[in-house]
Amino acid sequence: MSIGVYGSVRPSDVSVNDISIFYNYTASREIESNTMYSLTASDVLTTLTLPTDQQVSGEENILEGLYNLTLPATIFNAVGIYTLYIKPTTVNATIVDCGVLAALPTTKGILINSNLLPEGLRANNALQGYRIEYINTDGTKLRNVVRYVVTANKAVPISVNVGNTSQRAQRYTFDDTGSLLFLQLTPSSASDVKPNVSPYIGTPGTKILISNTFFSPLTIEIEMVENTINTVMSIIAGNQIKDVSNGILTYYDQDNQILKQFNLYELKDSVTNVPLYEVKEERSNIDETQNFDEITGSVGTV
Amino acid sequence: MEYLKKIIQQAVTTGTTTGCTNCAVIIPDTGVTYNIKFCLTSDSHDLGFFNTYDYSGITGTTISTVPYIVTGTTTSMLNQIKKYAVTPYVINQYFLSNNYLIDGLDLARSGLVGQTNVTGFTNYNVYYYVGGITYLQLSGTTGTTVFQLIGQAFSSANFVNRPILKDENKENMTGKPIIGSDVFIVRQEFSVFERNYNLEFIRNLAQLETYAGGAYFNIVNNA
Repeated sequence: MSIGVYGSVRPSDVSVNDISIFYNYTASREIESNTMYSLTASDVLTTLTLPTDQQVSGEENILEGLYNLTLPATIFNAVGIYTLYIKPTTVNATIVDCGVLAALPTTKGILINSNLLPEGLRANNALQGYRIEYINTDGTKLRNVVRYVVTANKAVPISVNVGNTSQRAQRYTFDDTGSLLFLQLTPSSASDVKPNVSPYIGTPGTKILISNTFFSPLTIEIEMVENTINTVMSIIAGNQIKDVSNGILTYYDQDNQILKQFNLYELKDSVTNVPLYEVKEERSNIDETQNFDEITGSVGTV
Repeated sequence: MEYLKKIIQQAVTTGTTTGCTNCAVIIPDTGVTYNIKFCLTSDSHDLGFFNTYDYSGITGTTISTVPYIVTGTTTSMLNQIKKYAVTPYVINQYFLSNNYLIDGLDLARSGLVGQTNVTGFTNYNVYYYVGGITYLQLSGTTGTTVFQLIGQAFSSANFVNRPILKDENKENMTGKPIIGSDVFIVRQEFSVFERNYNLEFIRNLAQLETYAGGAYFNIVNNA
């Protein structure tokens, strides 16, 4: 029995600038297509706002969690399957050094050049909660290893004396004038049973991927179809006109727009002129004179 | 990770073609957009307790301490400025003040100047000050009092405005570490009433020095 609980899943209020969108297209499930393309999230994603009567003057009034995705038909125009992958943005960086703080030698961290980061990530602790993943020296990704940024503070190197010897060591101290960011990662503490071995947090020169953790990734599969149940119903039970003079059969949708058009004709025996087949053949060229409103609008007029 | 499936009907329009009069072909309409609503959620986890970086070279970010007014309601605090006086008149029953930094009843703001024979606050909006906080007890009420103070927020010494970090030496701690100022060695002690150590068994001075772990006892003759 608990005396107090809290929920940890909340509607995300992530900025669209922190979202990356990728997509893939395949004409059918029988075709393997692994080519990915990207969309600019700020072009196709918008946040929604509260209803007008619930808005507070002077505030952004966003409705957390709900987003609108606008897919332009200039891209999404083919019948088939589009798979959209919506994930947190990732920034590439390189570990400049792995060091400890001069004042707290047990506090380990990695250092990266803040000037190479997007401007919004350069401030102290702007990277807190971000996920760090590593690239191996051969370019492959170090799979299944993630670390999370606990603190991120601007730091500068200083040289300190080590113990009672004349040796000196380069360590770091927090200083807002520094261009390096000292990132503490978790897990980085040594295990109780193996206190001399610390978890891997990276090595100098290692390339890393920095991703935000503002929302959980999402995949949307969009099946672009030619017909839905509505068009089927329109063909079965909707308006249609058969032009007796030229044998064109036209089906219309609920707005009386042409859905399909067919040529109706008979095949006859060339000698006996006896009908052999009745053919219904779809037309690729649509006869636009078969306009439902114009044809039916003339009914009753001379 | 969530996986959504949507079916969208392809929007079409007619395009021009050649070879026939009044003819067109059905083609995808590229002038439209398809809209989908979806929800994004985030899963929050606690990073735990942090320490502040209290070392030289860092002064923290200066936070502007613009004073601001805080108001609200409370119960009457008049009894805190009341003095012992055998008189029925209120201007003699309370400490007086005309400055919010000095505790007391403000006669001028309360409209009590010269009201030497007033015996109650029923018809007055009473202003008084306690500890730098201005209180207003509204006319005709004794339960509702409005307070007003000048907030200073981050000027409080209880706030530490320094960089934060995780001090691994302090992880997994749930309280302050216990530091002993002395090293104690527990010496063996025996009860004086143990049979083997009764005085009658002591035969020499060395035995007496180690008697009962070297402890000393006062022997009181209470016969």
